[in-house]
Amino acid sequence: MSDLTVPPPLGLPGEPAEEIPVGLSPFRASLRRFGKNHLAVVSIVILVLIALACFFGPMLYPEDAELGDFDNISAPIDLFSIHPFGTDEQGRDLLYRVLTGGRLSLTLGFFGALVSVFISIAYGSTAGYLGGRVDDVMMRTVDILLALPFIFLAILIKIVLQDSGLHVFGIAFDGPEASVFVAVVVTLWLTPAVIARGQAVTLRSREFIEAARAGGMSQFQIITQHIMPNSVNVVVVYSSLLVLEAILTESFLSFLGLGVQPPDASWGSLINDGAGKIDSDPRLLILPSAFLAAVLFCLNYITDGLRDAFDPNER
Amino acid sequence: MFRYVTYRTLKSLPTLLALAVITFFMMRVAPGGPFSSNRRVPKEVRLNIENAYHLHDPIWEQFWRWFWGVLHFDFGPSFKYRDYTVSELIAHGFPTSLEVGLWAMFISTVLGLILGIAGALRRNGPIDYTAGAIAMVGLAIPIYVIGPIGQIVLGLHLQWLPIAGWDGTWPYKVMPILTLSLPNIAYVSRLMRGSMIETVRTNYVRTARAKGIGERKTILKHAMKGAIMPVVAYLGPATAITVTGSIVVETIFGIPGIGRYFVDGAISRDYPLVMGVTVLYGAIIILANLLTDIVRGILDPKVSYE
Amino acid sequence: MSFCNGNRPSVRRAAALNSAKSALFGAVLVAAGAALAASASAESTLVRGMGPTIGTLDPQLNFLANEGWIQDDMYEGLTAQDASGNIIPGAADKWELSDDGLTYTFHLRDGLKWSNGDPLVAQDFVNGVVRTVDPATASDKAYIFCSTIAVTGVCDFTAKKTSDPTKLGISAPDAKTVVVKLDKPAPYALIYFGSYYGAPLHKPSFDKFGAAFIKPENIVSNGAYHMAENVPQSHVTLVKNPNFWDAANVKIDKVVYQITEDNKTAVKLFKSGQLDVGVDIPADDVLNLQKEFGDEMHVTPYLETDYFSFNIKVPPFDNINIRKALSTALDRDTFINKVIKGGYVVNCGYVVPLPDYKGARVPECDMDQATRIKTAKALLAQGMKEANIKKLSFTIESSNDDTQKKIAETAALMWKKALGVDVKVNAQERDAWLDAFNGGKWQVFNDDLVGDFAGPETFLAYIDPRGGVYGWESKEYEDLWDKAMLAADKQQRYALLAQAEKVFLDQYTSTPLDAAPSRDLVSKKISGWVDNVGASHPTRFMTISGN
Repeated sequence: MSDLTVPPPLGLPGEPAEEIPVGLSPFRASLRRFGKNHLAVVSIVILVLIALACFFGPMLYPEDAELGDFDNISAPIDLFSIHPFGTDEQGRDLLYRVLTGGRLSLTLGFFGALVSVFISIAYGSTAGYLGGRVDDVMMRTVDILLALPFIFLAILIKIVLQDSGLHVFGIAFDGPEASVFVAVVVTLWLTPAVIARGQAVTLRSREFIEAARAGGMSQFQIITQHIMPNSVNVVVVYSSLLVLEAILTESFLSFLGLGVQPPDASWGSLINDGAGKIDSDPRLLILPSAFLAAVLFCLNYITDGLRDAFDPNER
Repeated sequence: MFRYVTYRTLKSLPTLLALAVITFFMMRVAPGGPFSSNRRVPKEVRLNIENAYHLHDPIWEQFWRWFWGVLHFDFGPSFKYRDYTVSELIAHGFPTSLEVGLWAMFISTVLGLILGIAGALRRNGPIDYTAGAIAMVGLAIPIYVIGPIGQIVLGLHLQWLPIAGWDGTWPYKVMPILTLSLPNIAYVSRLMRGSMIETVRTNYVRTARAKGIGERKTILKHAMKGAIMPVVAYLGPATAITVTGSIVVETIFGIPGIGRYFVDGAISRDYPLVMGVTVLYGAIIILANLLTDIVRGILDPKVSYE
Repeated sequence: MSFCNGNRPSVRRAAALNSAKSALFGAVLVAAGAALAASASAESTLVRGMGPTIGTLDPQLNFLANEGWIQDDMYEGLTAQDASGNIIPGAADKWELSDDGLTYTFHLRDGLKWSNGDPLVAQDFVNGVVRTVDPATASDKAYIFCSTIAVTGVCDFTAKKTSDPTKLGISAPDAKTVVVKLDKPAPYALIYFGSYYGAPLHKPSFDKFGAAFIKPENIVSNGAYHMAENVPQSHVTLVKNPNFWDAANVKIDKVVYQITEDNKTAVKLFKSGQLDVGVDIPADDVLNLQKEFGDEMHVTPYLETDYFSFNIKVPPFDNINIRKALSTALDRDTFINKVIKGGYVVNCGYVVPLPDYKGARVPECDMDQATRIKTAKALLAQGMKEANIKKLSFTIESSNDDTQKKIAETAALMWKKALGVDVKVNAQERDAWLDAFNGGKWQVFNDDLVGDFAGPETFLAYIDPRGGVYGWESKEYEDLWDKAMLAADKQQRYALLAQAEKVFLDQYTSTPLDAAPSRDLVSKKISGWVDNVGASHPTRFMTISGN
């Protein structure tokens, strides 16, 4: 699978936009277009605030906030107390739990989606463009991975990775985190790869690809410079959903005991636990769900904005 | 076309075999075993049970026994549901999961396409945002929350629909189908919206418009054809997942499908059941991808069968 | 999919059953009606929720509690249980125990019949046990007759040292007598001749259909009810058995055991009146449901004890002071009554609280929290010095069951807070959790045990050092147990067993925590449902009104 070593297509599509104000590079023109999309900008601000709150908010709490206060169990919402959203069944501040849980979920969601999008585009484009036997073998491999029983796959990954760690984009994951990350990515990239491959199959017979071929471009160049950039748009609009899917896959893993372990938390595990208490204490479900939904909506508008801003056909 | 389908079907057999082999050996790496449920049972008794199911034979022999059975349409006994064979369990549950799943896919595809197209045509306006939000809500509220809410509102308070259960009649189907269709709406609508925007801007639609065909017609005829491709590709795996049942929906609504077996089989190390549902799922994925490729060929004649 | 067409009898059968159902019920009702023409006005139906899908209804194989409920309705053993869980005569109306405590002789009632009218004889009960312990049957329940009550020859039989069933210590000298010989006295053995462990076997149908004798169209049973329908993942329907010896006193004509995979759905079905009984109600919802349903929400102590075990084979838990410190630091009152809730009660001994057994208690249960912390800190300091460690850090192995996970997490927080030790939780799926235990790869184990019956013996037999479960040794414990088994009466036996329990608790191999309740929603329409610690609720003693 040598195609996995292809460098990422950083500056998005190859064809430059045509009507650029004089003196602006295509990238800055795109940024300017993005800046005019108010909803997307507001979404970015909200998302950054959520991320900052998750990564730095817990530092404002006393050091023993994670230990629980058994004299103050299931305190109700009281916005003007030290526990604005109350405490959970072990007396831990609920907001603190959700914020610390967000660290893992956001990291996993973003990087899981990013890695999956990259793998899926590279893989799908290669398979779809090359076609024939290569396509066959590659896509049947995807079929097999889709069909493999996920629980056993996750157990296997846990056994392999639990003692070693993993580095992704310079971020270190310890054993358990690494196994969750790999298990999530292994399932996440498959469907977008099928979509990207479909795009590549369609693109293969387009005139500009044929022109490129006639112009003497190598297959590698065609894939990286024409096929992949043109598949990106389709998969990018879908990536906001992948972030959610990554977070929910982690919650399934914690449900199975293969994900984050108590007393640590993730949004997924908090939602899992909260779902059981929907009748007795709905706060436990609503707060983490609200954060997750907010992230989903923001990402949605941001990816739309990005898509528009970087669309090669955009005027 | 017939030759193409036959060819693809034959070609899928090695894939299924590879899937079976990998699954068979992968399962055995997991800790525990199908009969390790009670810590009080002495070794001899445990050994008798395990030997009755040939669990101590060489693993290749076990695989061969399983494979030989499959060639005779026998997927072996279930370890957990000992009154049934795996074939019986699947034959009993799969039609139900298939029916619920196909309806759910139909509804989510239609709604997703409508919301996606509406969003694309009225881009970055109130209609677009509303359509996007409607689609997202289905995804943002998990099934295990929306399902029980439906039961309370429609079942308990309004008494329009039964709370749970299954006798094959429509009242029992409505809530599970709607619940199961919700998450996919978002996927379909986002893919459709994105690719529709793109297609509307590509040259051939512009040419079609220039020729003077009415806008509505242009959009539906030309843009749809091109734009629906990513949705078609997505529908392959998504349909395979949906028609093999959802453990959450089946558990909440008490539906006798096979969705539960994927999780239960794995958790209780019911090896034959896991093999049975995995091979079934693999076959459906292959079938779904074949259909996807055929549909792609019909929509875009430039893509030739190989 | 071609392979799906290969073998689909159950679908066809379900269809056939639906069409045959009315005919079948008709026939049974006519028979029943003839037997009790006076009371048979309208068919009365009880719908019992039963939790998750059943694995098997085979009386010699099944192993789950909810399978047991159906079995108790379908079969009758030599002994039976009444509505309160007391042992009463079943198919045998009297029995004797020899003076050495080793031989039980059961005498069957006159005129017993199978549901199809065949005479029910002593050999049928022998056949049931023989099939259970036969290695070819591959039944977990074989262990009951080998280790729990040690019927002569069974262990050799299961270990395949002999293969002659006539050499077993269970025999039928004539059609109405069953004689059981034990290797060691087991004064609690009567429960194991009830329907769940000692169901009789109808040999002709077993010989004819093999394992399929349990399918509804083949089954022949001897209990108050017999099976009319079994739809996987949906329900099991039982109808009254007119050939049951006490059929005249069986009030409910039809019982539907409805599978309720999701216990929150079960609550909603109960609210809407579609279920008469909902079982395994979510612990978190008990308080609300008690407010809403009052007496219909039954929370009853049950035979499940939850506790932590320490792996005394690995340092530092080979040090008793460290174990004792951890046990002492637990504030059980806060732990159970404020965090876990849901009807769970604090348990200070190993055996669950039982009505007539006064067990031993760990002393820290009777301290106040300040004393506990002080004592625990001192013990820990001493233990760590003895074990020569600077920092105590360990992992609690737990299953990922919701309540178990919550118990492990709460203990971790409590220990961290009280003692400053470093505690991790590893909540795994059940199989991995058991595997960790069996492989000895654990430090602290979030443990539980469900007893077979409402007596201390079922718990104390499990921890007997000769069973080797926790790797502890105590001659004293073994002697007390042996003496108890030969004690003259129950009172004396229980006193000796309580001493044995104290020996175990003093070792701190395990530290007790709580006893779990059974939580059921039972409709006001039902009478004859009596809460009992064994959670035994045979339908034959119930009546239902306003159907």
